[in-house]
Amino acid sequence: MKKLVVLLMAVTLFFSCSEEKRRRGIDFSKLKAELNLTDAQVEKYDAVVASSDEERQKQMEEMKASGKMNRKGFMKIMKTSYTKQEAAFKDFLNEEQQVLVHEFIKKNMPGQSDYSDELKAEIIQTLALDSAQTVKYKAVNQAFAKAFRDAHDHYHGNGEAANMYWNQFNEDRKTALQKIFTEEQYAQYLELIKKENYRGKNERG
Amino acid sequence: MRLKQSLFRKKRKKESLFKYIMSVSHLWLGLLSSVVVFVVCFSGAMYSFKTQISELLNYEVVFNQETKQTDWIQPDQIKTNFQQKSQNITNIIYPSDFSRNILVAYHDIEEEFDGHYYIHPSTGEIIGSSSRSTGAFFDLMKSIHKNLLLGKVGNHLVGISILIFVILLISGLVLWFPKNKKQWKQGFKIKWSAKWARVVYDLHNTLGFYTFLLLLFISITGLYVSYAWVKSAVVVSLGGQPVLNASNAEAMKGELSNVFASFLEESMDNQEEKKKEANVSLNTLLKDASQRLPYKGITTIQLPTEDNPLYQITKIKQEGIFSAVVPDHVKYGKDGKFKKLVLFSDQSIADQFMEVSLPLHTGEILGLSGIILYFIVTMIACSLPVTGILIWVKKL
Repeated sequence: MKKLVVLLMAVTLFFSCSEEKRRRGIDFSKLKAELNLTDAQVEKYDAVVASSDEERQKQMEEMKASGKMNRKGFMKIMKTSYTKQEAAFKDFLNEEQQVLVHEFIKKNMPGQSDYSDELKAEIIQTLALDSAQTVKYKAVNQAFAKAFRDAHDHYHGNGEAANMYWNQFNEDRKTALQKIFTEEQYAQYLELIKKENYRGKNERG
Repeated sequence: MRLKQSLFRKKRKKESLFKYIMSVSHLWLGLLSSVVVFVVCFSGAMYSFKTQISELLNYEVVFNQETKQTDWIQPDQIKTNFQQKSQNITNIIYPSDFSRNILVAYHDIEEEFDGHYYIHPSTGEIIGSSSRSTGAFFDLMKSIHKNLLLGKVGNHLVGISILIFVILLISGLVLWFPKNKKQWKQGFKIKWSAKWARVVYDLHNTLGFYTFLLLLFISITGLYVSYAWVKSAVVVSLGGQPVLNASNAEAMKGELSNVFASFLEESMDNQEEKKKEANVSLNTLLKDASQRLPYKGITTIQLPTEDNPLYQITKIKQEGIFSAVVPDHVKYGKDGKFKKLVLFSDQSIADQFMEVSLPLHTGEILGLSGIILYFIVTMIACSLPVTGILIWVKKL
């Protein structure tokens, strides 16, 4: 009997002590494998990742301490920090590697459930939206983000449900945009969003 | 051999089949989930005092050491003081009384930095910022509580174990139920003068009975966070919207489109609001909000941001030992005009439950008294697998 209890406790202790994967940030070890870095680059790469991680941690602590811990604040820190980190990478990576880094960060930005700001800006430019259309386009995107975020209590912890909510609100967004854009603009819009067709598919809930 | 006999014991002569099943399942399920339940309850109990411990570590900045003056510094004065140092305030949190300092969050324009300071509630003098962090320890406790540091697998392990714990609570109550007058008396108190085996039995039996309801509630609110189907069942039973799934997707389409339409209307309004420019007096807004929400509480003034052009004043009631700690909001346009009063009590029960599901699970809903109560109950929950195993070992 004693053996059984000890065994149970040992198993739990073993699992409890194993290191949990970082869930909230970008896993830069995956990117490292894709970049084919030279030895000199590896050293600089690791240094940038470590210092950026530390800096982000400090900012998160500061946000918690200031009583403003919320999704918006979290996103602001993540976006600013990863943009800075990408700039730091540029100093020692070649152009091809820089493109890979940019796409990787864009795709894996934590909390980025909607299309990237970069794509949204490209849509405004390519579709040549006038000022009234731009205001409405931004409002529609904001409504999408709010509706999806508001449903969070429903899909929390359930990736499949999160995906369904994303698709449903995206359909509503498309319907709203159809009323704002011309037919030609809308067709262009549908083409452009294919660039980030991964959005919504991997929502973690 | 004795182990086998204990796990697969036969039904006793006078024992009903129902009680026999409850007894055997209580033993099996208890053994199966004991370690996880212990770890989850212990880490949860540790995590419950996160805010209080963090505040104690930063005592000299969080709490007001100079309580002679009793006039609040006005928010416009705070704004001006910070602006003189090229810092734009983003948030001001007024405590409910003078025992604490005011928390001001700001954005430093020159340094491009977001920071915070505690200031004296009357003079506005900067006291400092909370520099001693407990983040790493409590983040670890939270991760252990949620997933035993095992990611998704851990989430399921915890979820299943707590589901088993709910069954254990119910079967435990059935087993506790006294047969006669003598047992009734025994079921309510611990006989400290008895031999240790009896004390252990009483600790398991009696404490389990007293904490039954609250533990059941804490477990269900925990399962609510872990499992979509529990969440859906709870929300629907409270009259809310079910979680979207393949079978109800078509039926819910119209309802979700309406949700989107209401957000679109609000966003369009916000875009118009962004164009407005006005010199708004925070003093006036605070005075107006205090009239609309005339009770003692913690008041947060949130200034407009790039995304949200509205001023929002949130008040959390702090009256009585067991009064619910729930937020009410007042929203103002960028020009300072009153927009909306969002009272917690006006929301549907389902929405109320969703908003406070976490503080309901942690006890924060009742403030410090709730946290202490939950801590005691959770520590008792920690003891249940231990005393349960001891009872079983004694019988072997």
